[in-house]
Amino acid sequence: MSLKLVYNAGGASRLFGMQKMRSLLSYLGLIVFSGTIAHGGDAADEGLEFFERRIRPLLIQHCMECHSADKEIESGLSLDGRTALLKGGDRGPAVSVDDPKSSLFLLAVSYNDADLQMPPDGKLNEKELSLFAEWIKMGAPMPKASTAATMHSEIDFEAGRSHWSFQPLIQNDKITSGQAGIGKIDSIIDQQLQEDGVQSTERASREVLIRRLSLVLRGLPPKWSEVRRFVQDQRVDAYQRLVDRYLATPQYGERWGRHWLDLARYTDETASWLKRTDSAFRYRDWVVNALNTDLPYDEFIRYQLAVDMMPNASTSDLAALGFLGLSPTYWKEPRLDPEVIKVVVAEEWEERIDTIGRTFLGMSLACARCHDHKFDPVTTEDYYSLASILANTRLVEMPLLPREQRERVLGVMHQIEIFEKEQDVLKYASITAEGDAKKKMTDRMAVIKEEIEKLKAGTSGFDAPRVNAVLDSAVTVRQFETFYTALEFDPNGNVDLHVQLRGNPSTKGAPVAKRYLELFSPDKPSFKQGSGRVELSDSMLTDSQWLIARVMVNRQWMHIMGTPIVSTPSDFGFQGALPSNRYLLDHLASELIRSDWSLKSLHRAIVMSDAFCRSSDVIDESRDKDPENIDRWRYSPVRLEIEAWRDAMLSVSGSLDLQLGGPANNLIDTSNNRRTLYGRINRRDLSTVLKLHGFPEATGHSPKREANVSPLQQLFVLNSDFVRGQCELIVDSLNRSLNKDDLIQTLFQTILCRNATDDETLSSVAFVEVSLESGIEERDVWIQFVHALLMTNEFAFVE
Amino acid sequence: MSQLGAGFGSIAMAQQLLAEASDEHLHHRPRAKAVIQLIMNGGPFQGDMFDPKPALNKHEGQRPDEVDFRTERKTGGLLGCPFKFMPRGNSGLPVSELLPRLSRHIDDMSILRSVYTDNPNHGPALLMLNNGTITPTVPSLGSWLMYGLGSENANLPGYVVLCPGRPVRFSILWTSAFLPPQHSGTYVNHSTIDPEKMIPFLSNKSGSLSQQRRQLDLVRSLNDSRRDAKGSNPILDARIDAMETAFRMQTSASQAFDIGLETKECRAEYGEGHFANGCLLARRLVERGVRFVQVYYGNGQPWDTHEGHNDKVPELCRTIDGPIDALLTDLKRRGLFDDTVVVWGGEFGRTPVSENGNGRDHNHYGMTMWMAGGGVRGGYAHGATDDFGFRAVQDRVHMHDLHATVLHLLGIDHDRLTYRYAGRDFRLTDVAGNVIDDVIA
Repeated sequence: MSLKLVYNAGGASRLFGMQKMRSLLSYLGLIVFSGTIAHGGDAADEGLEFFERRIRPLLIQHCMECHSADKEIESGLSLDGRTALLKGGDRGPAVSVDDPKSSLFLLAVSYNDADLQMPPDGKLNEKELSLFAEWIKMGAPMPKASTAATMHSEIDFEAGRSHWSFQPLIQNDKITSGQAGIGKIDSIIDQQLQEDGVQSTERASREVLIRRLSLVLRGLPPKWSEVRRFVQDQRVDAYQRLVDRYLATPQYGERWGRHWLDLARYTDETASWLKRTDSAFRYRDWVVNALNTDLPYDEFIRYQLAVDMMPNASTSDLAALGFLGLSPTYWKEPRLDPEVIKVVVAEEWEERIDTIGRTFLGMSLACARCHDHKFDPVTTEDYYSLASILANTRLVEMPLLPREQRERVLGVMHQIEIFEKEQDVLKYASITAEGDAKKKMTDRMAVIKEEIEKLKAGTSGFDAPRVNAVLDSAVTVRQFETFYTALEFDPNGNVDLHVQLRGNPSTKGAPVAKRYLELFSPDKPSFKQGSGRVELSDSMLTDSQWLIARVMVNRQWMHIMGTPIVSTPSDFGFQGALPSNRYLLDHLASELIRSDWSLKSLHRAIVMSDAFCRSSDVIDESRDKDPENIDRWRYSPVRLEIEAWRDAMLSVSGSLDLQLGGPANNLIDTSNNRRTLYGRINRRDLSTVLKLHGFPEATGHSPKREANVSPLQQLFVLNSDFVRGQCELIVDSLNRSLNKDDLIQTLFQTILCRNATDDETLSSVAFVEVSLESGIEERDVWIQFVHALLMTNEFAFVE
Repeated sequence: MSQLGAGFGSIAMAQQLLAEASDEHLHHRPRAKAVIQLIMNGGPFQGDMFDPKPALNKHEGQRPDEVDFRTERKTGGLLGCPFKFMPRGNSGLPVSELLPRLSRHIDDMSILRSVYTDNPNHGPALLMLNNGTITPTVPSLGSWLMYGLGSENANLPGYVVLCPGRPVRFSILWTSAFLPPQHSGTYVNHSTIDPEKMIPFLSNKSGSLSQQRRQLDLVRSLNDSRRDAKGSNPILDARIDAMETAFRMQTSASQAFDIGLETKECRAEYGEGHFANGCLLARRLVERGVRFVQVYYGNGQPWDTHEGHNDKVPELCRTIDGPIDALLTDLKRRGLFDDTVVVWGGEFGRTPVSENGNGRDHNHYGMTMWMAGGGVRGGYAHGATDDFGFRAVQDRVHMHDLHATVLHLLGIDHDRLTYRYAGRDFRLTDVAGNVIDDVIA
């Protein structure tokens, strides 16, 4: 095998069990190491991966200075390759394959032998020792002909850029639109169906269609009166009118806003150690409003990353910064060592970079924290270039005030923060202090308290509502006293970051500039304005707009059609899935860009397609050919998320409160009739109702909901006061003097948005009669009947 | 048997190692089927129970170099330990006088005297104990077990967390994170022992079971008629199954969680109190095929003795001594002991030096945990701390090693239980973890 590459693809072993991508990656030769690997096989590749990831860096840091042909070969021991290792030095073989535990190498690093202790300048830590032990246990795999001394893994960007999702959008010239009123989306899909010889279903009935459209666009089922009106509407553009009407309702933004909040790991409650936690909802409301007003998606991105630095933005748009402002924070115990706290800070960056990368770019950039990305063309330097933007950005509760006043208040907040730190230090110090010293401290604390109060009272706008936002400020970990370590913020400062070798903040690599990924910006221009957030969003949208568009349209398609075109919505990299129909994806992406990033136009185009309007019936032959419905020969039923399902119940019971926005409320409270979107989300403690129904944990970015089904969830359906309450409301609004058949018909219409079939009416009547005969009160019988309809699969799915 | 684990795994079943109730799909022959983890939240002091350190009393008040590591708070000289140790069982391993009943089982226990962890704060250390990391973004041990093994009882949750209140950090400690959500722990607050209060929505207040059965039959017929028209669909079918299971659970879970159904003698053996009830519930659940039960000692962090340590410990020990003895005895009597791994310990240990004169600070450098039951070696003490019990120095056991060992006992190779997420294959032990071979029988 003459391939140059190799082990990035091997997949780190035990960690990475992925065989599938190997061949593809190997051929692409994404990463070129200097050596070649003679022996193949999974186990071997795994071992080599482990070596590259874990061992080579250790050897370089601790051993190669004295044990490499490039430098020096002390005691005759070279660590330049496995052969050299097995041969060993003056003392004999460094590694024993037969009895790994007794290897000389391990003895040396263990420091258990007074005569042989390596490295000489100090014992390695436990983690490092266990890595060496594990490596030797594996038989000390190393690439055959390479010297360990150099770690350059040179990413071949040209090869990387040839990956489909980083390429310009393509179109299939054979497909022309406009034939006999068939739109481009359907032309592309029909082409595929034809090629595969798969027959599609007919258009769904109007009853089915309106319920589907209503649930997809608004997250609510239609009222029976709406259904009737639509069914009877003879105008040729009846469906289009319906689409436009739904797109214009405020419930549209609520529905689609929630999709976005999954990506943004939205929480109503931030960590207890942050100052105020009551303004998160303003970010949620901003997202809803942005979607309702069809804020172009490129602006939508810019606002969320850097609206505070955009000259023309309005004050209320500051709420957009909640995307970063509501990032998870991890506890930084003041009494711990600064080195420990730096690790905590590095973890926070990682989460933020991960969320930015996966949300906007569909790339898992966090992988590049400790080493160049194994699979995608992202370097560690890239990672720390992004991290240095975050190192100059702090979380803050920003007052919703015009710029000048806002900056004044922020200035005062900064002063107060400094006072509070002093107060904290004194608090800790005074615990052990005595006598005069203690009194001095207590006095000073009282003075500070007063000063803070004065500052607050003397600053107009200090009490203005605030939003969870970010602000440019150098962020460093500082040990103020031996017993007090905390973050220090300098609004006028700047932190220059270095690469942190192997993700460890205390081992500095090369300095990095604030800039965008080399993959997209080959010239690597550095950002000049403050933290560089504005330039970052600009670079993303100019240098990687195709990728951004592809990632976003894929998500929209998923929310409308039930399954995405690329089945890994937040991974469009080398490990991600390939699009099931690239022409379709790229067409949608180019439409998004062409329409000035209008999401409503995109949604309109998709729901107007025949593909969306097909019935969900099964054609056996088509199912046999395409069981997964990849070609979209029918509309596959989609399970309603908890939000749409709960809202649907409130809607059919007539109790839904459509008030928009505002602080979150308690979902457990049975008198809560507002949309589920407004239920409180606590990152630390998700409400039982949400948890039971597969709502994603808000600790990190969530690319898609899993349609999960559990008995505990069904207990909620069977026994909760909430469901019971909705049943009662429905029954109590009925005119029960009607005959049974009519009542049953009305209930089918109200709850399932259609008429009952004869069979269904029969079994329903039977249920009601048997129940009445068994002596159950009439109202209760109807409640149980309604409950049964709410329990049906049909009610919980979009058909 | 497609029902296996389906209750709580349905959709993501394809991802599970175990498609059926045989061992052949595991990585190796399992030594146990279930785990009970007793968590002394707050962090007990290793020198009080299984790791005697006479040097503490000998040098009381002094501050030798060995104890000069930084923990969290300011500490002073060594604080003596007034509790006596004596050799117990055939193994003769020393156990404190504070645990007279539990010490009868010493020949069935492996005492891990050299455990250490990464962080001396409660939150991060609890995360380390449960999730194998200090950051709250990865799945818990129990979720990994569920993902790997599924449940043996489709009518009960397979991973149950019992706490009479809330441990610090709360639900993050049993999160499934990126694993499918049905693998997260089911938290049960057993400060009340009424099953209906423990499990949300367990019973129907308005109708009889027979009427509910009739109602479900109607639902089934409505679903079926729709199914005939639209064809079957795994998610739709899973929901139908889950609803039937839920129906049965109303009876099965009411029984499983009802310790009132135990005999008087049995209740007396376990004794009174939340922890006793937790142990008894754990036995009832494991008996019914629940895979993983965690019992938190109490609300908050009761073992966190920053002040008056030596005054508080006897009472804390008294309230675990009887219940754990009863649990182990009961498991043995019912033939469950050999199939169940029991793990005991806190999130970290405590300092041999004093805090506030009579307290002990958090200590992540050294702590004791013990294991017993299926596949665990008995009458064995593993590793050692220094002379003062401060730092694990010999045969050190990191939390990752503990996790690797627990997975190993259940037939799983921790290196190979992985899940692809965000472009990486994650595992419980990250890139670390070694099975502690010496504690395996």
